[in-house]
Amino acid sequence: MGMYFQIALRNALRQKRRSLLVAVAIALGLASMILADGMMRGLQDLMLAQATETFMGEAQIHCEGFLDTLAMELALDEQKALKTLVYDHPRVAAVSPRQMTQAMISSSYHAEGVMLYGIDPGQEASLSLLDEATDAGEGHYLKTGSDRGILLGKALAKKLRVGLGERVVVTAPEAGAQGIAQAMFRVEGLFYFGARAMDEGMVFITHKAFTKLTSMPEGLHELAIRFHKNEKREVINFFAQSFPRDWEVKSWRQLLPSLLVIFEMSDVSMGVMALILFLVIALTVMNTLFQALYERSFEFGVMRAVGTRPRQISFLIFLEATCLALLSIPMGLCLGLGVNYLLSIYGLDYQGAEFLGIAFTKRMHSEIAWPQYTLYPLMAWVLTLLAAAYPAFYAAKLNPAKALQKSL
Amino acid sequence: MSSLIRLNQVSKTFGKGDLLVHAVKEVSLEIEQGEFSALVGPSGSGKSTLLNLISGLDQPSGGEVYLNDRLISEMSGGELSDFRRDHIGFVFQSYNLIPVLTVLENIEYIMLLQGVNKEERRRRTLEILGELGLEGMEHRRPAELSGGQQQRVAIARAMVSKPKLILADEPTANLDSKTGSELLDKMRQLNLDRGMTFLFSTHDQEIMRRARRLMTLKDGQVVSDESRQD
Repeated sequence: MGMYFQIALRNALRQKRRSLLVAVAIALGLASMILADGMMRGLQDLMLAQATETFMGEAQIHCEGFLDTLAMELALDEQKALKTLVYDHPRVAAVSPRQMTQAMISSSYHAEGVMLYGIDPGQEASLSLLDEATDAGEGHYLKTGSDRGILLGKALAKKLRVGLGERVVVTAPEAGAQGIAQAMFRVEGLFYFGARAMDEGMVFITHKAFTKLTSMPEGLHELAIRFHKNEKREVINFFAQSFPRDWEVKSWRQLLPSLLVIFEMSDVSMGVMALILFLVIALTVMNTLFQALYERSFEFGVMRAVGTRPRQISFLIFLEATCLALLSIPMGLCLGLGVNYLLSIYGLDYQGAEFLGIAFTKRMHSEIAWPQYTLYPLMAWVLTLLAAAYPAFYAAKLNPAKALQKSL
Repeated sequence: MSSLIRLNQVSKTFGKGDLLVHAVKEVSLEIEQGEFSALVGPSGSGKSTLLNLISGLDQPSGGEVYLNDRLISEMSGGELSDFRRDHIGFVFQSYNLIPVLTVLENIEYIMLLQGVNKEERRRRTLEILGELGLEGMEHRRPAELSGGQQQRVAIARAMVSKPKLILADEPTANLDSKTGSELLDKMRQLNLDRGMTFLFSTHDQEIMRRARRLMTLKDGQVVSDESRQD
């Protein structure tokens, strides 16, 4: 083994420029994969974070059937269960209880259909970015206990032609009755999320104001939940709890299936990209080994003549490929992880972009993950070996007498 | 003496149809253990092809090749490799050392294939380097040696595994006459001292003069077989 490795290493270094070029090609391929993986993970994390942190939360609880009907009476009112199963759960970082109904908001100029939310401003701020979105817009965030203040999206305010301090009328169904109720609110703040659906379609008042408007008894329609950060993408024991039968507990995966599809598609894209990249590397390695094989066929003939077995010749070719991989993998790792590290610190600016209704308000930071320094280098090595398989087979099958007649 | 090599109606053809070439035609011969013999003849007479057939580097198109009473044409690629490793030493015209290995490693290589332990490998290598006057060159690469020195290393490599037979294809062709003569003296000495069988393929008058048996080939056939006494 020792001498074979020496022969292989010295052969790999025999044509230094050629070996270096192949090693650089493998290294660049590996670095590209590491970088693409880091950026894809970063993008997925950003999309998930923006989708969940902006407003939705990482999980939501509703009464069964509420999301389909938005019926006001389908409210969660088991306070004890909510406390023990949700509020006190160690994995839960923040909770926002919400009431919601479809409503109409009108100004003296125009009327629009919206989703009206009754929120606890303090708890909402701990879960979503509504307070920050209001800071980014105009005016100020809702005060707890305010019963006449309302938050609108800037885009909606523009449609209604209302500004801060101006009055709007909200018309909503009454709970438990066929009638409708109306109330006048003063615009306290204009939020800006950057996603049209939110900026045009959502308005927020306090629980107190919501209850007063709709005459809704105790209870809430939606409980948005955020988990502690390291639990974000895991299947956590929170969902394994025994919830009351009429609760619908959904993770972001169920709430945003389209995001999951996007993630799956991006994973497939990564796979295809990896395949193409590694195929190019494989052909480069194969070409180099064949070139070396033709140049050294006389040498292989001599080795066979003195008693080297065909499989030992193959082994030598595989070792030479391994030497190329050993030269290139550290280079690829340094380059890929180095650039990935820089991108994980400084990030790329996607702010202002909107995709699938998700507005990007933060920089995208790539992510360093274990497959980048374990799986991908291993794949590069295995692929180099696979690329060497045909030249190794060819070398093993060389007729020694014919090989001895060849000399370049 | 026992018969080491036995060829029975051995033929070798290359090409097909109108381009068919008979490199060796129905050659039958026997070579005994300890012989110092040579295959001679003009270029294209079939000397190198015959050496390739004897060593199992190539398969005959017809007939049988026995080495030490084993029919080598029936051996697999791996078996043939093992057989060459254990029983045959090669010396080629253009030395053919492994360029990335040092003199020491080139000579040790065959013993490594044979599974000889490191100490024994080193002892035998240094011993044979001493016999062939190559002391102090152990760590040089082939490119750092003269033609004569490289050929001596090739001879050392061929002999170190103590094979029964050494096949030498034009071993002096690339050497000056003095170096060639010295090497032949060494080989003859080894033949006499160790009983190794040498079979040359050559044009060299010096080898022909020293060989104890001359087999002349012409157009792939043995046209004369002449033995001489010392």
